[in-house]
Amino acid sequence: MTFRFTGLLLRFVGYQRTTEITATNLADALRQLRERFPQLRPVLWDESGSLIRVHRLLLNGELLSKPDDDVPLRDTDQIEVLTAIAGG
Amino acid sequence: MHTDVDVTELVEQRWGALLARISRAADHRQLAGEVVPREFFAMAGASGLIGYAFPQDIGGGGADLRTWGAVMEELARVCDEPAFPIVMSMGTGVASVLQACGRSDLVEHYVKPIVRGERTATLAFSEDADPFSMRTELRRTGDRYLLSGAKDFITGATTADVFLTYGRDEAGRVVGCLVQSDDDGVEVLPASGLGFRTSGMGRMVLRDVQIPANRVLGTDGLTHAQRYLNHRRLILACLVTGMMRALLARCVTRLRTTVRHGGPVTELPNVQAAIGRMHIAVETTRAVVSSTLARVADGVVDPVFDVGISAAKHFATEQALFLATQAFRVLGGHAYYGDPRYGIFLQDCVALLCAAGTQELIEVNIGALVTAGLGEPTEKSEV
Repeated sequence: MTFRFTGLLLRFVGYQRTTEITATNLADALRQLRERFPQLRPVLWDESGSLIRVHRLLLNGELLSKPDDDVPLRDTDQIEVLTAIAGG
Repeated sequence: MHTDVDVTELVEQRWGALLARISRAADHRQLAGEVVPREFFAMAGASGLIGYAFPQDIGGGGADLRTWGAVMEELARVCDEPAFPIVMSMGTGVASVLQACGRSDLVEHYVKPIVRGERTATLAFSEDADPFSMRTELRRTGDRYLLSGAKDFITGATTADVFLTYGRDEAGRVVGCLVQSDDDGVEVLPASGLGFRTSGMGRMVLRDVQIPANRVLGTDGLTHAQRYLNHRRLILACLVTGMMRALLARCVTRLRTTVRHGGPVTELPNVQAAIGRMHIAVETTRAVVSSTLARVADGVVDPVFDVGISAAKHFATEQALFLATQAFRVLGGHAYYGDPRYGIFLQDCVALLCAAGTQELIEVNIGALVTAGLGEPTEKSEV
């Protein structure tokens, strides 16, 4: 499967817009993503390991409203990480 | 839910005298660069204004969000001191997110005193950087934390007792905490900006400030701050609407008594057209903000970044800027030299271009979310 990044998160993945990962479910894919880009860890996940709410995962264009670790993945799947934050 | 007439009467009856008092020296404060006196916030608390939308069991008035938004609009319409509702609502926003934490200690020590007007509060989030580049650090040392860094662009900084602020922990995560202006190591420096000049803008420098563990708000500070800012954009949209209504009324009143070429200037078609454009700007803004408020009050909202709320803040700000330039075009020298309110309004509109997320960033986020099919929330939630 492929992770796709845009905008604010690109700097934490070496400005690679996509990264390929071999995984059969979401939990495995996210674990491998953390290992490949350790600098993403405090950006995407909170202390308990939950995805921080400002980020949204889209699996093949569909929002994963409550990302379930058991979501099965195929080689052709694409997950986009979308971050919407503003202001201060 | 209250009607517009109800809210006009409500604000006049309950807070009319206070708002008249605040308005009295507003122009002087603007010209002298003086900050809105702290005592006005104490009076707003004592009169039930600050707590109007908080639950009655913590001393509030129990009003719903839709009514509170209408009250904010009316406040901005009738109060000649634009910084007053701007700063006061920073404090109600802090109290709201603290109440939402569900911790009784925070309610007793912060929410209730803010509601009563005994304490003032504001947000200190920005560092003139993106949130992932935050330099302020919050390090654990035994049963306490040490906070070091600086925060910029703080509205109401010089009158705030309590700051809702954020720093990065050892792992690099953004964590929220409360800082008090009388904590050792806190220095608040006045700052000047183009708009809301009487709002007590400032910068806060934090030098190894000791923060007790009970003032740390949890781990996901980034989402916490975005929840505040999401709600802030809604309140700003309400306030801008009230400011616009006041400016249009002022402009039309002036034009009615203006004579050019031997007759009333309002009989000139170009002046009528200008008034028409301004009225359209005001009424479309009211409609957008009102419908957004109604939807959010019904609980259909993305609590972290709601496209409709951000669109309402963006639209209201752009329409307000349009209104300001139209006023200058049609009033000429009177707006530029004769009546400072038009210049104050224009400057405040420019401030709104940056407030709670720049217009540019709001556009980027809305575009990305709409492209992804996430333009409208589908689940009920609390803002």
